Amino acid sequence: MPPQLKCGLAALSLLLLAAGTARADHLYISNEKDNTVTVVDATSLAIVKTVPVGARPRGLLLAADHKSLYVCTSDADHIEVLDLASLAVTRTLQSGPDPETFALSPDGKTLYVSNEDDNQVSIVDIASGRISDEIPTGVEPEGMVVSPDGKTIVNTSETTSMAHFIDATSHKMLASVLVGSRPRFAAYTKDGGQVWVSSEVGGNVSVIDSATHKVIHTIAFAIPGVPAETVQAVGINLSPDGKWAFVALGPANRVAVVDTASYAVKKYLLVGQRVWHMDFSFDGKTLYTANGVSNDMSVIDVGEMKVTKSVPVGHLPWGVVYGP
Amino acid sequence: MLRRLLFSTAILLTLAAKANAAPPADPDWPCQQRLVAHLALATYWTGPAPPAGVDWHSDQRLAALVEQVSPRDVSAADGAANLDGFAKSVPATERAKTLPLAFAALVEQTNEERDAVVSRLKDLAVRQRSLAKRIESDEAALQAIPPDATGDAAAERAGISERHDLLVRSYHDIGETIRYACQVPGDLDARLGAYARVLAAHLDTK
Repeated sequence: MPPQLKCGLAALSLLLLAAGTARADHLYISNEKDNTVTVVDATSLAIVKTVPVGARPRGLLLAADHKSLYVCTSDADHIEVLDLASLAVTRTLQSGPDPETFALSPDGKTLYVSNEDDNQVSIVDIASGRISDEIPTGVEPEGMVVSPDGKTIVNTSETTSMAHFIDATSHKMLASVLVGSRPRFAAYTKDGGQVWVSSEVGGNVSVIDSATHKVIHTIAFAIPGVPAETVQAVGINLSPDGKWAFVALGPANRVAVVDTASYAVKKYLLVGQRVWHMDFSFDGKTLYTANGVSNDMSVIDVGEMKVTKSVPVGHLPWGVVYGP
Repeated sequence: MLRRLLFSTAILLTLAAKANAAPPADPDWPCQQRLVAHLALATYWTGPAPPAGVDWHSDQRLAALVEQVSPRDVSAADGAANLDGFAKSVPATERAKTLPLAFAALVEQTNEERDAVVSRLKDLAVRQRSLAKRIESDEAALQAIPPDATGDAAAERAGISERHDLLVRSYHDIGETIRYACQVPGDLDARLGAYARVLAAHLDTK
């Protein structure tokens, strides 16, 4: 075989190999102050791109098909759809005023958006991009989550300090459960049996039984030497194996690691400043946090329960999502 | 008139929002973020504790360092570069003692800077509240005199109107100052965190 042909075949094989290699996963971080989403390579932790989006991006969600990212652009009063192949905003969806957090139905067709300014939840049909219904809820709605079976929506209201359970079909309020002061975030356990609600001012997490709508446990956090008023519980992420809950404690600069069986706090991890929201890698081995004051993202080795790295991102990072 | 009504409405809405919000720790605190009375070392630091009973003021090198990096107008980047140089200059065997002490000194000095800002902010909030009351009082007085009044009543109305407009301007000016100054405690908090990370990076934490 002539040397040129050999060389050509070798180059072709390399190209084919490269094409066959899976695209690295990425982190997407919303920077509330910069009006951007930072895209970080999950392997190298290098910034791949900073994508301009609408005003005040906060809540982020990965689409069910993993092809796009939904971004609550709060001051633009809509949701933007970031195409993950081109890393460009390709669509906008209606959201109602001041969208901050939202949840995706398990079938990936519907978004439930909390509208802090007008005390309601907007139901957005993703295909049409339009609001199909609005549900009145408590004052200053904030946290949103949908049960794993898609039958129940839970919305927290900051001012009334309640978690509202809403029937996803009839849109009727099923129950309102009093939780800690200024509830910010809600998360279902994988089996749907419990809802965990964080309270920013209360600095605790209420664990609610989904069937009885009763608070069955309240998890308090106390870090030696750290002022109690800085312990502000916000983001909650339950590990894929269900054994651990990671709770972001805001300006206490800690993530609490909670044993979901005993509700005991096993460890407080020092991360960046004003840690707000978090996300797991697909394999559940790594957790990433968005830190609003230190303008970085902390990387946590879940098995070791250790912070391994800090990655500078934009200004006032609010949310982080792991995706392709 | 519209401007006056708008001003009153804005004040009412602000008061309503404050009434709905969670009980503030201090009624004179005008910023959106919760007031944290003092910054604490443990919020930023999980390294070794500073040595007990050692006064950093008596260490001239530390005192000079603190004076260089603590003033409010020192940027986090400049201060961090200075601290990095300092930490490198400390022999490895002394770092576990000197660097926590340096950070404790920085927390103390940053709190002093921050206390002055917090105090000024509270003063501004009190002043703004007092202005709001005077503006409301003037608005009530203006409502009581018909716009088409003549003679002494017209002169009185014009006087009140002029004073009202000045008060409104002052109210908005103070609001702007508060808005700007409210960022300072957060900036100091962010800078202290950056300082902690620089010093901690020079400690053997294994």
